[in-house]
Amino acid sequence: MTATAPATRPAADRDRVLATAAARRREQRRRTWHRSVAKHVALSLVALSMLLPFAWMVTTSLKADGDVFAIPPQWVPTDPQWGHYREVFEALPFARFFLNTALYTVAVMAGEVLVSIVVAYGFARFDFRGKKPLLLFLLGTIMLPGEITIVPGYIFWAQVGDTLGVQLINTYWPLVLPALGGQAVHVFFLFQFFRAIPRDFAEAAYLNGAGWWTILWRVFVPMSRPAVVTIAVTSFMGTWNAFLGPLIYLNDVEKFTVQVGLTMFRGQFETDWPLLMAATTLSVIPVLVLFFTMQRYFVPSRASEAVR
Amino acid sequence: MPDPEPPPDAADRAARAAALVAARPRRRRISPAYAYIAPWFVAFAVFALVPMVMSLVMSLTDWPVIGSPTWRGLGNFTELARDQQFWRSLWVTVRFGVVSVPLGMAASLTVAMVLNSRVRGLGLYRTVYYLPAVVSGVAVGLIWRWVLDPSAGLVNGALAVVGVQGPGWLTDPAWVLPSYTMVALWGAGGGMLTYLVALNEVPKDLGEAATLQGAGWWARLWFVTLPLMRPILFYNLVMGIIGAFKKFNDAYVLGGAGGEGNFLMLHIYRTAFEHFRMGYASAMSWVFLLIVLAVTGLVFRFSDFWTFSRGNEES
Repeated sequence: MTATAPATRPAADRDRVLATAAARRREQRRRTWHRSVAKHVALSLVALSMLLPFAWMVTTSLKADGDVFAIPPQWVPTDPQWGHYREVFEALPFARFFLNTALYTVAVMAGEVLVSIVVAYGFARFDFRGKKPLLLFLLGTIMLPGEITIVPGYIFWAQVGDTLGVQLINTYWPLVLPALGGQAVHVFFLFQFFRAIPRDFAEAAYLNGAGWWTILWRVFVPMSRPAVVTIAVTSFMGTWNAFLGPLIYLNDVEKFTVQVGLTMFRGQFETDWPLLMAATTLSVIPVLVLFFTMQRYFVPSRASEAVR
Repeated sequence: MPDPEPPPDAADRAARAAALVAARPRRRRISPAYAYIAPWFVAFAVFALVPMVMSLVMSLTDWPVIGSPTWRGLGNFTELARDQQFWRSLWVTVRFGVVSVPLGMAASLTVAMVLNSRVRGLGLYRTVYYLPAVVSGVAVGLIWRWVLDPSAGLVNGALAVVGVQGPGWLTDPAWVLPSYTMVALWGAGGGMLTYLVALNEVPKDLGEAATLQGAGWWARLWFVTLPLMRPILFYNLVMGIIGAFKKFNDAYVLGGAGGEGNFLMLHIYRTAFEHFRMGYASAMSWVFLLIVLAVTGLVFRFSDFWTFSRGNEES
């Protein structure tokens, strides 16, 4: 290296060394620059392939029927048919579907979030006999897909309704009541946050006269707000997108959720792609809006992929 | 927490402190914790265990939803063993699981590694890649049914521009599995985020040490990064295969010629709610459960995933 070169070296020699060092540095910089350009090109191509189907959905929803089958595909519709979005609401009670789904989603979300908080607190704050096996059991169920209990669940609700003499199939009860048990993934997620809260906080509050229940809502929940928001968002997404449960339990069209309504659209308007894509676009708007506004609360939890 | 007013008197404080001391080190006879954790366990018992037991009984009967079940003994299970359609649907499911899950993992791991090397605009890429994962399975199915449309779909339209006649993706049995793989790759962004997190946890000095000893990029990946990520890779593989078994929403919409899109869960659904054979579908659900339990057992045996939660508890 030049720094260690003896001072007695002739000036010309030194200049040559310096020049090659500079050239090497330039070369290096050029190479990292090339690398980073290549990287961005590759990443952008992947990003493009993620976005194209969405763009295709939106552009199709605005096409006039004659342009749908044009080859090569048209990206910008010559005469955007905004009316398709109105037609969606006329063809099927889509507004009703949205209302149903909103109520269903809020009910399930409230139940899952509140109960999961309570259960996680029970595991995180207290030591008790059987804690370890119970927690491991709860964790183990995360791996079991809820789909296993779809047929058994239907039998259960049909039989319970029969026994009690009430109609439970074709109502929202089978979809909403199980939410009152919380959700194992959410429990585990919150549990990790709750245990990180020093016991001194809770015990100080306890010494000052607060009960365990008060401590949960006044100390633990406020201190874990991001975690609570995260499970609320996850729960919202999961319920809004839920399909199999609503599909089997709901029979009347006016009780349908958006997802079930969409598949009905497909059955009735199979070839009317613009209308179908307009309906699909409308159905994904709520989750996309939530995703963009709440992005920092999206936590890639390994376990959350196991549910639903 | 600030002092609440009115502050408790000294005696109350002392009593509470005593209760706290008594409660902490030893395990109390009846901890308040049981009341807190009860809802989940009660709900699990009522809404999962009881139905499973009921369906076990039902699996020994014929029940066409209307009327009362008739006893069939093990007839459903012997029929299942010889049921061509059922085995085909299992085969479709397993094939998808072992082909497209590793492919999706490799793809998302590659993208995660590129993203991990301090790229500008990381947040934007992450957002875009995650996008398909937040959309419902039904919407994914509808979008892709149209994208893969043989005559006017985006894929074949693009192929036509370069002069290639694209296949009938979902209408040609040979192309159904590749179609599903493509859809799965599109939605692999969710998995990519988990790898990004895991890569961040790989200690940097280990890679640097390897580099100093002359390890190249590949050697570093093979001998340092991947072994350290083994738990999450294994976990994702198993969850991906289980995911194939519960695959329903997009498959319900996408379909697929020649029964190639007839995934296990779809087959169970059709048996129960289109052919109204509840007893038979119950038997299938139990086979489904046993498969998942076997796969889960594998995880318990061969993965260090669970040491994480156990280690947590000891602290």
